[in-house]
Amino acid sequence: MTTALPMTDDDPIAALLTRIAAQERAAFAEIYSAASSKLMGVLLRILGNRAEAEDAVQEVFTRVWLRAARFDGTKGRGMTWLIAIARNHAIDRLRSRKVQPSNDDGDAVAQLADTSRSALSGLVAEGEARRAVKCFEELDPDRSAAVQGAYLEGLSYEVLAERYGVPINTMRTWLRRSLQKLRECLDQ
Amino acid sequence: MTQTDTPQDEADLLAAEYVLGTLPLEAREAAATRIRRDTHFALAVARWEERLQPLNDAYEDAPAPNLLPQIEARLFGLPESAQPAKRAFWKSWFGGAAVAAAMGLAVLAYLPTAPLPFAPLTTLASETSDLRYEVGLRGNELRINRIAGTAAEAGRVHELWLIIGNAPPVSLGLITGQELTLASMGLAPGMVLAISLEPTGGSPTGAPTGPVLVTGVVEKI
Repeated sequence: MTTALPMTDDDPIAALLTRIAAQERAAFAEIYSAASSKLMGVLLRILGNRAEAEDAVQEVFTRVWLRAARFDGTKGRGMTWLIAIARNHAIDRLRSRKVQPSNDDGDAVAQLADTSRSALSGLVAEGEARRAVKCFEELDPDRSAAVQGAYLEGLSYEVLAERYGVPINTMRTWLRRSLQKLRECLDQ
Repeated sequence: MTQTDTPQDEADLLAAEYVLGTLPLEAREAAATRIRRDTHFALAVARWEERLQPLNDAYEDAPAPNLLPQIEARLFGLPESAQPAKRAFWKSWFGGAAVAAAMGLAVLAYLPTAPLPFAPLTTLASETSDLRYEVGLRGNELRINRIAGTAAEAGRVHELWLIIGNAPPVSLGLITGQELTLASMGLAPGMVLAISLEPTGGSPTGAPTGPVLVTGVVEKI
């Protein structure tokens, strides 16, 4: 799976990260303007709570400044790297919560499938994205929705198992098999 | 595809689950540690991030308030106008000088050359070691100074780490001599500084690999 290496020319976020790695504070202000809405969107979707998302935005940008030197533009795009930091932080927060949200019923499954379908249909069907759409379509719809719900909303095995009414281990096996299929399909 | 996964496949699936975010807290933390120590695993995680990255387009923008001032205050310290402690310090200093001047002492001639002291932030120590580092802040300068114990033996070095919350430690540098002075990197109360013992040249993985020798919590800036 080799794709063309992204150049900083067509990756403005990567260019900013390089400047931030050189401790340039102006670049830090620029990256906040350029990326805070997207990262806020990620944090809100996963945390579901604006006050916590705003707190998390501060933490995420703090990490961006401290870790910018570790960004490697040959391994991926700048925005992908930023979103990974935001998702990881948000999911860490979710998993650290004492009480896991629960008691969802069948409606939640329907809702989950809906949001996930709209997620994929919203993708611009070109190149990588088109392949991703095709690969997700090859999965059983429930499992495709579960993978996307996990990724986009940070749903745990526990929550997913409850929503789909299966034991946690079954859910884990489902998702692992789905991920293996996705890997085969996406790496082609 | 069989029901029993090979160890290699097992590691790759764990990487996928980490990226997907489904792991429970403990397994997640273990995976985060493994990313820092196992380059193959880190690469597997990076590849999964790339594979699933098309899903990122489904996140919709949500305008964030301008939190940049708060973030910059965390990272770079508060701007002058917002530093009550420091202002009080200056005020008391000039107040003292005025009194001294009124008393006919030639204090003003001395003031411009007097270096500001490093304000003590914390002491890095441990119950099991004599090693102690004093951490002080002066303006934008952070100084880490060994006040007890000995430097690392030949072939080893003391490496300084910053730990914010549950985030992986970030290396701030190697202490090869008695002390290290850094540009301030936005310390805030609650952050932890730690020294680990690493091979000369510093941790090869970007995360602490040797024993943590001493630690200290930043209490007040």
